[in-house]
Amino acid sequence: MSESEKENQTTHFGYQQVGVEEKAGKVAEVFHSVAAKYDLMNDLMSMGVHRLWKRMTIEMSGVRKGNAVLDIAGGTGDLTLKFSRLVGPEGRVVLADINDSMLKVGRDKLLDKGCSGNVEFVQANAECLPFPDNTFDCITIAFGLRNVTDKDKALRSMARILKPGGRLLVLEFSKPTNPVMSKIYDTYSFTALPFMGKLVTNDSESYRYLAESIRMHPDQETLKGMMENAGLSRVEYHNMTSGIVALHRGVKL
Amino acid sequence: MSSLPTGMLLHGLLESAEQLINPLLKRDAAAQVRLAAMGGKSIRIRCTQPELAVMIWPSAQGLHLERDVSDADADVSVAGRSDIRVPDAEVSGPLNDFIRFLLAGDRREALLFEGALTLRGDTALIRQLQQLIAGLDADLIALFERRLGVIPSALLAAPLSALSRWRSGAGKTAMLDWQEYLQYELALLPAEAELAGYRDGVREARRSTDRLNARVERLQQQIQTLSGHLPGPQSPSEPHS
Repeated sequence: MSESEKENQTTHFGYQQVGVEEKAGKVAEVFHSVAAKYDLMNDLMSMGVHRLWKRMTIEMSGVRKGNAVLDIAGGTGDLTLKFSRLVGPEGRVVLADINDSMLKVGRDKLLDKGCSGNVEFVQANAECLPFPDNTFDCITIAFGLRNVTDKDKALRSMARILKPGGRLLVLEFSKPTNPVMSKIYDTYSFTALPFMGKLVTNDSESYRYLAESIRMHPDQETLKGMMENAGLSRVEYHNMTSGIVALHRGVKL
Repeated sequence: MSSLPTGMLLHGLLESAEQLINPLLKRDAAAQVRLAAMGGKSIRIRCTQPELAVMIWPSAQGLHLERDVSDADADVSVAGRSDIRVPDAEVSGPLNDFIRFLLAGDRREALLFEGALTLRGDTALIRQLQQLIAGLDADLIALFERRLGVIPSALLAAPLSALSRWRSGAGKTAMLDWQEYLQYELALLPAEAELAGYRDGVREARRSTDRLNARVERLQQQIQTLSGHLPGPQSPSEPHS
């Protein structure tokens, strides 16, 4: 692709259209800004329910002792911490994030919680994961895919490094299935979230981006199709909290 | 796997339990030391009816509770299988026995080792965990003070302790009333002493049966050993002298 073609290509950053090359930088700015208070904001915004969504993800991952697990966009390491216990000293968990601020917060948090030995930290872009083919038994990406510029490329990259029989789990905001819930959720997202962001992190724009990026993210069926196109089989999804969040799972055969 | 709402409910309960217990553990220096000693081990609590299992991972940071969806048949005795999460100890039993255990108050430890619940693996670990939880200094007011401040906590503390005293007193009175009614009015339940005598009798009968079985086995082994030394019966084809 020539430089001029690249410049002409655009993608969404929330409701804005930005150049493909610009999106990663803008997303990075958002996460540099919120990294320090990320966990607190997650608890506030979801009223603690994000912990249950993550517990369900762990349960459905089927991770066992000795497995190799990759937690992409692992942020502050909530999933990594639990996977580390499940795989035991014989296993391996890699916490990958494109954002160094998030990765530092995650690394410090995990070390403070005594999680070391079987955990590695890698700064990596989900679109071109720096691992050999057929490396991991399970890959998870929780609340990270919507921030990726080229989602199809990222899904193909994940499928490539999964071992045959390995599972990819995508936990992501999705489209509410209940119209009443949808209305309440819209009001909450566009009024309460930026307000909370302003109060806690003094940054309402990042949380406005969060609400907008959720609306721009593919719905349940579209994402399922994208995973199938990336080469995954037996793709299924489970709506949680009336579809506010969906957990997609696919297997590499 | 169970349905999603049930799963979410269970995860909610486990998360709430973690959020309640771990701050209390953090405030108890002795508990921290004992927890650190248990680090790296795991205990499975398995309810057999309904089928449900929870893994407990003690560490210096507290107790981590996870729903266990691994192979239900995987127990402490299958350490040979490399991919199965093998707990160091397991407590299993039907739900009503777990409820009885939780409501047993000071008798919990006795009940744990009485045989109502099945213990496997490192039973000392189970005992340590039970003692740790039983001896936890549940200073809830101090927790409220940290989160809400001194004055709101003091305002909350008075009605809460009155409620707690009333609950404890009313519970004991209700238990005695029901006991009397069921034992003496309806004659549905035996008296405590009668029940204890019956339990002792059953325990003694069980022990005697075990001893008898052991003696029978020993006798059978002796017979086999003796029959090995005796000359075998003569074959009919052998010529008589």
